[in-house]
Amino acid sequence: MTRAGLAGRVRPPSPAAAAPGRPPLRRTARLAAARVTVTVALLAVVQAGVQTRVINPLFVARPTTALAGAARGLANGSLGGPMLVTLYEVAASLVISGAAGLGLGYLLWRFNALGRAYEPWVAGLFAAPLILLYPIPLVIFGRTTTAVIAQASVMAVLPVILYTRQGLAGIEPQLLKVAAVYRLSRWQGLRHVFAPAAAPTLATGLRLGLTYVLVGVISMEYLASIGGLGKTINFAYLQFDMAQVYSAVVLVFVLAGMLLALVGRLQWMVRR
Amino acid sequence: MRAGSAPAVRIITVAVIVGGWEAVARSGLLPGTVLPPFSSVAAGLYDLVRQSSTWFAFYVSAWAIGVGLGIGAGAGLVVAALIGASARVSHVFEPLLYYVGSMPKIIILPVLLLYLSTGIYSKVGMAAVSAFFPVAITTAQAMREVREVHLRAARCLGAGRWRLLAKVYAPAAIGPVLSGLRLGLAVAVTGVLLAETSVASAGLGYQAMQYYDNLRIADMYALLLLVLLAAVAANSLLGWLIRHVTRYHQPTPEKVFFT
Repeated sequence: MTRAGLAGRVRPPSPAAAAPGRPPLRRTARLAAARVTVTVALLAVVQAGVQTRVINPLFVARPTTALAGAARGLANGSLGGPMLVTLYEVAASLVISGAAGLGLGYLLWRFNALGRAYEPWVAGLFAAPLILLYPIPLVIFGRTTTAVIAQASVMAVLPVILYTRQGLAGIEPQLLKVAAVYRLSRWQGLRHVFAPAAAPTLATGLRLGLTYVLVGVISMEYLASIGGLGKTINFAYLQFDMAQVYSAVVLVFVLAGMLLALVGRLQWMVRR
Repeated sequence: MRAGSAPAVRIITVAVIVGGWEAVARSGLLPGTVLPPFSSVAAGLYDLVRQSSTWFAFYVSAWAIGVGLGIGAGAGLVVAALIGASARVSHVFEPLLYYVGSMPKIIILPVLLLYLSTGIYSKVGMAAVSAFFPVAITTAQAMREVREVHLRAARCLGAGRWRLLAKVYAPAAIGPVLSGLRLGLAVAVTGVLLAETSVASAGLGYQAMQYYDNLRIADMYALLLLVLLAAVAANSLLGWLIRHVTRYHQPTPEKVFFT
């Protein structure tokens, strides 16, 4: 075994331990390069498989075709338009669930009796497949983007509530005492003590919220054929236009990847 | 407030919700197709539980979820064992797994429908793909967080690769693996039932859509309620199992799992 391999196995650098100081830039770049290489290699294998007809070309589009289709669709608006609709739904759901979740989480923490009574329920609902309730917003709001936003917001609000309460409850008592010594008003306390101390947990809640928003929005678009990219995928499949299916899937990956990276960045910023 | 007030708060909440629901539904403010009265949903629930068709749908969905979860979790364990044993490899692969795992799985349903047909196997496929990621990610994480001291001690005693896996990694990772399985179960349920609402001829998702299409909204609510209760029950059962299995473990720093 090489020395580097041994060192790598004996002392696994956990993400939590690596968080305070960012890894040196060269290492980050090398890791990124390795990931890109792996991804490109996997896509190349698929490409070769489709080209040689080992993979049925009717079922799987060539990655190059899908990428080119995605770029073309963005340029002429046939996929760019749906992508914007999806982005709008995701952003609206994220704002609604974020605001409501912060507020409700704060209430559950502030009034402990409510928190103790409701937290197991919120956790239970969080584990339940709430996306199945999508006919309900359809019945209430009709086949509109509002129904999509309502469904995604309900799903995403739960992790935000849970992590907000957990973040506030996990604040060290000393900090509260310091706040009391400085005679901070409730608002000042929130601004200068609670928010910074709970920020990492809140960011985690928001990040989970984002994944649930994405699942809610795309799934509902697909299943109910309303809105943006999910609807595009469903339509393309029904017309057996697999190239279009994969192009839209590429754009879902791009959109979700960008948003996840954005929220991940936020998470890293508040964890200093 | 007193420590014993939680049950009281819950009872009051349930009473207010049920009462408010019934009152609003009976007042005629909302059409019955939007919000049927709670009493008719409860009656629908009672009927559903007594119908054999409900249990058949339940069986179909549970079969797809169970088999898919088994395949997906098995693949997840293998992949995690391959990449988790080396910190370098896992640093390259874990973020990729995480990103792909965060995508809404429904977008691959068209591909699964083509390959596995519209029958139950496309649902098994959905469950497997959904469950793979949480299991793989949590297991790979757990393997990297195995105590260094334990690894060194085992190596000093002459343990090889397989011995290490069986005697050190497996007992240390059992808790996180079960947590991954729990997350996997949740997403597998979602994947299967969503696929059933889309293209299927049996199962709980299909049944709910039948009720929706026939505007039997009270029955649909009742069925969804039944599904949610079953999912929560299965989830708490796994939660109990995790606490039971890990009861001897020393507390480790808190970790956050993503789906």
